Amino acid sequence: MVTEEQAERVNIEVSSRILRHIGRGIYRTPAAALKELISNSYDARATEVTINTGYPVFEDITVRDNGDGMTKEDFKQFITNIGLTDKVAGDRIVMPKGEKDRHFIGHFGIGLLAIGQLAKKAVITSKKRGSDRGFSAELDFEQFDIHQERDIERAVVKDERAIESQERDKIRAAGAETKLPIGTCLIRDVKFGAADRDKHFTEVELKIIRLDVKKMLAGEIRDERNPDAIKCQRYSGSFEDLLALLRENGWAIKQGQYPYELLLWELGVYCPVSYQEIGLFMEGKPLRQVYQFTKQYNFSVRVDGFTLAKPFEARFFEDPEFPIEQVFTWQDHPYKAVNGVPSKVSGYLMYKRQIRPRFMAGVLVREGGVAIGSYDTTYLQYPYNEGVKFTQLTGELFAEGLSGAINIDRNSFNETDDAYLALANWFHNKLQTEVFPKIKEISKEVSAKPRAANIELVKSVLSRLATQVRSPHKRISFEKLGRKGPLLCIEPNRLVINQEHPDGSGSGAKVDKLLFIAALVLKGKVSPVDVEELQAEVERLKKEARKSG
Amino acid sequence: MGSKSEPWATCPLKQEIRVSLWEPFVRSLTGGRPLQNYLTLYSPSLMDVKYFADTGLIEFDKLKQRYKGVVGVTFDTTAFAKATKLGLGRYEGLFPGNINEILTRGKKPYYNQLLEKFPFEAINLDYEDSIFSAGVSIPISEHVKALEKLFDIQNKQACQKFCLFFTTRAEHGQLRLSFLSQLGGHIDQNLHIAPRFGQAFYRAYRVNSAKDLLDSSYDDFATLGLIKLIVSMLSDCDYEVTNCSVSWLNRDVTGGGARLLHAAFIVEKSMVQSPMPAAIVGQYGRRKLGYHVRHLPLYLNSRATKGLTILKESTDREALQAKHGGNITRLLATTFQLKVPEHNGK
Repeated sequence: MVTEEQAERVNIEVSSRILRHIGRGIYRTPAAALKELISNSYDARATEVTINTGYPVFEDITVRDNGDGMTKEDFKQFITNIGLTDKVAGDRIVMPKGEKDRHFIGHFGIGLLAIGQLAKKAVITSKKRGSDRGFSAELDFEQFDIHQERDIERAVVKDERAIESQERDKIRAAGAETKLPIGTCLIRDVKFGAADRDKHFTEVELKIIRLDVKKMLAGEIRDERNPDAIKCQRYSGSFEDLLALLRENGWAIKQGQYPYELLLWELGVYCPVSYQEIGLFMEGKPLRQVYQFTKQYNFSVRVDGFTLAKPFEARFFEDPEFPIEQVFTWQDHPYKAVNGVPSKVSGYLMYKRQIRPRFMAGVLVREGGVAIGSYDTTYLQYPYNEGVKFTQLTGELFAEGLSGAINIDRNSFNETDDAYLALANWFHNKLQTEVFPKIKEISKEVSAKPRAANIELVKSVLSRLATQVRSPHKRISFEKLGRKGPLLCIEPNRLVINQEHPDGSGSGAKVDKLLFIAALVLKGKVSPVDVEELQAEVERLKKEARKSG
Repeated sequence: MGSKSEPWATCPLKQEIRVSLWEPFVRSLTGGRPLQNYLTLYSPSLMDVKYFADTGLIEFDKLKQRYKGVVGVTFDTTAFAKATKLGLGRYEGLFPGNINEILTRGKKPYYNQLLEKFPFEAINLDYEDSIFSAGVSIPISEHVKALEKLFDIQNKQACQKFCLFFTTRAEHGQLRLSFLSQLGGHIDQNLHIAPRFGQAFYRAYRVNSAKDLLDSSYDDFATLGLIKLIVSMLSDCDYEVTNCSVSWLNRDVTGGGARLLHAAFIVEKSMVQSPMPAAIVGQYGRRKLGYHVRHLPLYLNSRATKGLTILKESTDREALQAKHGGNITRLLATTFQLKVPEHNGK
């Protein structure tokens, strides 16, 4: 037995290697990494961000914003304390007069690590208002190297063991306060002209884009997988053209075509930018409030000359083939309460028989206007199977109070978090009590329309046939004779079709069968009783045949 | 061109071409309204597009953030990448590659996509090399074939009137000798059959034959020969030239003596039917000899009274820099990207 005196309390610590690995890649896609940089701009009160990707070769990427900027000291403080940030997601950011205040969307202060995932080298230049001095910092992420291990690429640090050994020595010498360096950066003072004192900005230049990122964006990974495939390319003159391209080329996109267009689509989805004033977002339409809500972000992102918007284009609303059948909206619904203060959620779902592009099917959850992950076709793990209906809905939930549930990649949720579970619970309730029942009702109405037409068709065809074959049963009528009742009944001058019989409902798939059987009866080849007996016999033989394999 | 030559974007002589040659031709075509569509060889500077947008001859659609109707073809993907960041926004269409290859070999997928954009109200073929360089050994160069195809598509797409800007390096030694000889033959043929052309030719140059013209003034010979070639090719596609003007740009300081002929044309639909296609350069326009050159005397009369416009770096650069420098700087700074103030680190 071990006594209290014999027990030893040991600190749980992490190696700097883990930080290096985080820096090498925690984002699912380049768009997610770029989103992190854009989030930093938003938190820095920028109203405009411009990005040049260097499409189609992606040699370098530049991100500029008109945010508050940083001083050299701010940057040093930040770079020497990655992860230790004053920023807490959800905290209020006071904006200049006339603009709506924002809430921090950054969380972990690790936006800088996003750079390392995209490029080997980067230069950050920044300046605050009211000074003619700024700084320029060169960051070298070359300490990370790609290493093949059993055909799997792994990120490793050059001279990793030697560095770790040095770190251990430093830690021993300096005590618990020592931090773990993961790389170096060279910072220079830069001087601006007196006329530019009031200017403020931050520019991030990604100098040597990583080969795998370049290949992915240029669609070359797809080419390696399928060298015979012809590369699809189409220049889009506007963001709306680009969205239309994605809607029209679902299959090609599934095969890895148009990766650049997908990147822009993802950025449009992720970033707190506005909707276009089209379709249901126009004045007097059901989603006007959602449009106005996002308009308040007062934040624009331009990539390669495209002004990003939420990924809807006019044809989505105007598609005569697949019109919007129903819109569900919720405004400021409390979904949980912390210390008596409710966390609210607003949102909408649109139902149409086909969602195009197909990757818009599902629900997108936003925290502080920023999307977490992509459109979720599990509907936050909805526990019941609704089959094809899962692919016929698209919508968004704008939730407060979810920041604690967001994972470090800011691209997924911790699905055991209380807030997430409360939101899922609220949403599932809405799906179960409002959304899916309504969709079923619509589906019934939709299928009833062609059935009514089919019934008229059957009546018309059979009454003509009855005249032609001189059958006495010239009147044809549909009646409800019970699900187990006979399909056809003969009365002195009419033929009655059982509307409740599976073959008599008038559904499109059964119409030909019904016509054929009724024609035989009218012609006097078989009686309705023969039909029943033959159908029963066929069913019995079918079962026997199945049993005997 | 030598690597030390001044970029075209900042060259005040080139700006003078935009201002004094291209702009008046577009204005005369459209009456001052913006062009419906414009095909250009897209260079990273985008100065032609920016200049036309600045003068209201190209519309920048603020809502869609694009230059309305502008279609560009870049020489390579790197230029494409550089170019994207230098504009205010997007083009209607942009295709990486060599326009000659796209047009003459039907290079997929760009040929079909480019075809969808035709016809154009203005076409700017601002080549930096020669239309028929000395090293080319085929009967008709790729440049000439591409021009032929371009005019043919314009015709098939029922274009009634358009503006054509054509630039080529044309100093001594740049053009193939047999090509020059065919241009000379072309001129002589017209001198024989079109008296009005012959009179204007004599008034302009004070000589009686193409050879004499070549001996007395290479610049005039090359100018007239190339203009006539384009007029003939247009004629084969049922077009005639109703106005034409040229300027030479001589890079005698930074460009290693490169000399570029800039020609501008107003082209209109002609009523004469198409002939058979040409097999060699000298055969262009052969079915309509005399007819298609009816407007050339206008050019020759202008040449006789105003002389040949030649802009030289050594003599004109300073004055033109003073004239256009501010505008060039302003246009170059026009971009969709947020501007970063200059600092001592850059």
